[in-house]
Amino acid sequence: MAFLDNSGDIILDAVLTDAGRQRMARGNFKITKFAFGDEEINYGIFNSSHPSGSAFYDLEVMQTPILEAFTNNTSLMKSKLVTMSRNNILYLPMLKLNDTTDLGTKTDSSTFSGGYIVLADTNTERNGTNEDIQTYNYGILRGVRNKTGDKTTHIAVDQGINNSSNGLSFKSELSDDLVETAFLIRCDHRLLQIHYVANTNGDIGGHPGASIRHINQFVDDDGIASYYVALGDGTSFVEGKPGQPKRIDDGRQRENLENNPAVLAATIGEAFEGPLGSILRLYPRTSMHVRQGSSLFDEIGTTVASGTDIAIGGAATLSAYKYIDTLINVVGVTTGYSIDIPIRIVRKT
Amino acid sequence: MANTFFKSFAESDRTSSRTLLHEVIPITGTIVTGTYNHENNIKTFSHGMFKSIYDYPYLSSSANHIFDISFGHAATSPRSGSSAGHIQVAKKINMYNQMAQVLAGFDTGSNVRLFDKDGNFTNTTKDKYTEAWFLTFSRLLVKDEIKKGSFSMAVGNAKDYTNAHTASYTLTDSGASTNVKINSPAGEYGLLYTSSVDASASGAGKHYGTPQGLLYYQAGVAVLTGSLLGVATGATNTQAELTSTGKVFDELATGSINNMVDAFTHRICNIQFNNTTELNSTIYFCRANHHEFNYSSNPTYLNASKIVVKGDDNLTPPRSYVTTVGLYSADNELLAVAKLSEPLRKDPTNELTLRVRLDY
Repeated sequence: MAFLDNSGDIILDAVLTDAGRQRMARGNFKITKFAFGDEEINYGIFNSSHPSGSAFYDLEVMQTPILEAFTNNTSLMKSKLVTMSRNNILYLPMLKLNDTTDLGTKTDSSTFSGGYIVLADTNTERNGTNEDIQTYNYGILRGVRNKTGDKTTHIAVDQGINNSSNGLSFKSELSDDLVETAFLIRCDHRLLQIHYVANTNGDIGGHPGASIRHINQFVDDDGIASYYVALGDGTSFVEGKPGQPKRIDDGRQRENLENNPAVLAATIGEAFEGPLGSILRLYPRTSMHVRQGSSLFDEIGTTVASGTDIAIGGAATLSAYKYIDTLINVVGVTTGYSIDIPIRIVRKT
Repeated sequence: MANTFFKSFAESDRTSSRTLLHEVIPITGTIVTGTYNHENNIKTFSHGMFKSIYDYPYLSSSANHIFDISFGHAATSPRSGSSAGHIQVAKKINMYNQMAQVLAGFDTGSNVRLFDKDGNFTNTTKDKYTEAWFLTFSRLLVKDEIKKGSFSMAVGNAKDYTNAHTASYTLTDSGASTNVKINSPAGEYGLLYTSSVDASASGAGKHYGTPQGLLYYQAGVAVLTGSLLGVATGATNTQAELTSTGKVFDELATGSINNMVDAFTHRICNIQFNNTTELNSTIYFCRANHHEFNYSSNPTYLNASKIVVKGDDNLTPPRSYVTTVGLYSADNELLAVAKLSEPLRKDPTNELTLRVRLDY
């Protein structure tokens, strides 16, 4: 993958991706839409105070060398250009993992700081015994079985403006045209399947206790599964901005924010200080392949014999295990903002 | 208008075109005549029905198969009898019939037609190639077809084997671009003529103006008369010695196909033609109107949620920079991607139309 020659006319170097070739072989190759990307651009070098004037603000940006196209569909178009209906937007909402203690969404803080540990199979969940562990520690998710009472009950991705200057506040309303109403979720289909959160009765609403499998849109040639979830799609994946109906009762206090001056960001467990957008909640479960054997762990994972124990809950500690580190990618369909959620799948040996 | 990073193509944003792309294919005679590692470039098979020519020693993984050479004669040929010394008669007939049924087809009685010298199939006996050399070119070279009127093949026809290239003539499909035959089941074909004749060779002028073979453009096959080297018309060769030992074949009947191919390749000076690739293209016009694609989801676009290219002024127009065009399916799978050689600025004061061409 080399740089393109930028000394002469502007050229377009086009290739089919591996997914495109696969679809062509299957006979369902049809292009219906396009998007523009800017993944090489570092907007941080845009100098809006350049001493030579505005013509020089983007001088370095325009000199960015561009890599030629390559064919791995999952490695391209990581950041896209977005159409907004207004030109006067100064702040754009972001996506952020909600890592607060109170909402059942906290990440691991010991061996896999900042991510979530998913236990691969029932044997790992029970730490090699026949007894269920009643309460798992923060950041530990069950790969197989439903059970209530864990400290982390799901993963939540919050949308909001990460700024409280110029009068911005989480009590301010985020403009409707900036609120995410749909998300794309991508993960390695060999390892994970994405569930949405339900209560103990398997219904949507109430306190989280179970999860329901969601069907992916497609699995591409690299084994990456894509899920499309939207507000009002009959699942609990997406909850609207404050004021919209709750999908899961996780303890947030989003009702009547503007008229409740006593509520502070820290107390309601929100991830942003500025205006709040929607919430994506999900629960990753392990795939059948991961549950049934350790071949994938041998192939792409790491083996720990001892020395890095994982305290999963109560007195239970995993000492000898194998693990695979992977990512769940979440993209907001409205703003195009994306984040990667670190996941470590652990299997007791 | 909903905020989005996808834009659907309208019917007017998509068109298709067909382009014919030509490449010059020069095949130097040194590949096959001995000066360029001859033995390793030519693959011999145990069945002995043809030999394959490679551009490089064929045992190498980087070698490309470029063409084959074989010989055959019809069952009605005088060389098909069981006279003493006639060898591989059945294989030569099989080879001829195989090529004839594919390239010349069948008559109304379902009999294989013989290769016709002028391509009109009106004279049933007199103007047939009953003995023929077959040069079957690889698809790697021919691509979709040989360009009409571009073929030339120089053959050394001096009598002396060791100095075979001191006299030569060139076969061309002159005039084929306007006089092509279309009565073959294998597509279009033209007639091959000698454009020059060595005046010093015995029988000079013998070939001039007379068709010496057929060139099938889509099939990529040249069918050359067995008398090309002057050995098919009588019991005694008067023009060219066919074998490396200097032995003169008697009416093309006493040599094995392998030996004859060896002799033939020794006399090839060069072959050249233009191939044709038919490119079917779909062109997508990716249009960004003034109000579209002015923001970015690039993580560096924001600093604490604030758009960096605006400074602190929300009235400053947004801007973004295009480096990539992604083409998607309806279910959001990236099917093709195009990269610009340099970033293009997009802001509310300009519009872009990027033309992405996909060739099939």
